Amino acid sequence: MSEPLPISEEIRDAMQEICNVAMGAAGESLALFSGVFVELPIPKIRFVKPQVVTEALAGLRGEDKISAVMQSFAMGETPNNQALVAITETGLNDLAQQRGVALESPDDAMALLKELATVIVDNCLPHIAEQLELDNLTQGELQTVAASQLLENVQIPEIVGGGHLLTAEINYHLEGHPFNCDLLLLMPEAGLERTIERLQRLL
Amino acid sequence: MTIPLLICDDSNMARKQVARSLPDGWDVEITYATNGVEGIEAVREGRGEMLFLDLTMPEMDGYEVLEAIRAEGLKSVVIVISGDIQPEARERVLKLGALEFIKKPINKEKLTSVLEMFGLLD
Repeated sequence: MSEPLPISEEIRDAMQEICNVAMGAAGESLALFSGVFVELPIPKIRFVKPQVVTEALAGLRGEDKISAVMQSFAMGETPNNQALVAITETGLNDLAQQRGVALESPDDAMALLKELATVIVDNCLPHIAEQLELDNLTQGELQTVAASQLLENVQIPEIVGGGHLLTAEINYHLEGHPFNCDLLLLMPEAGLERTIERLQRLL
Repeated sequence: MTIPLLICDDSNMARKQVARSLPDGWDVEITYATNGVEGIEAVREGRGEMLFLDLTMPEMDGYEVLEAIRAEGLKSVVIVISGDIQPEARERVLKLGALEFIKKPINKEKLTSVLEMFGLLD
């Protein structure tokens, strides 16, 4: 269950707007990757316990199985952030069709998901860093989090630093398609103060 | 003559960024709207002869605002200011009657350049 945000409405709004601009840049790349017009959401900011991070994947709730990959990233003085990309099975099959790719094995499916995650994350994070005026973005390797599992059974690896997580959910859809994919940015509570300082400078 | 200018964006920070980017000395009377429903109402009331419009908003998005302006024959010169930078997003808003599309984040230089290009500062 999402808890009350530990940040002011002004900061929440600023976070949402930073994500809005960054997700648009990633959306452009996704449009090129899929060949379809991308429907952009309003980013959703939440505050959750690590045990229930999957509750922040609200756009993917339902009966469909999901697959997910995750990548750590650091920017400025906040080192232990994560970018998670999760997609429904139907969505991944739809994307494969758009890309003209046959998913003949679970490995094929995971390879396509990793490609998709690279397209989205590599075009989103630099725009967040740029807006926050941070020039030291680093990203880790993509790791598999879930392969065709029900959302309720997905376990997110323990996030370094513990404590609650501030999450930003960006739920992408492709117009006229069943494609349904979440980009979820996870920021540990411990790094929040520095992020808030950065955002204050923009207000 | 004072131009009724409407800034329509669900983000308070974005609305402020647009306001800070207005050319110095431009004779405008500014109204703010936080979503498309408020926006179209303001245009109907004559407060949006010039409209700076976001696309991704709750209640009614920017595309729907453009469609409503067109359907109701409302007087409004619209410049879309959005983070939705897919080439097709720009095509769609121009087809729906927007004058131009400016990529976020907005700044004074970008905005002035577009306004000058269309002779809107004369």
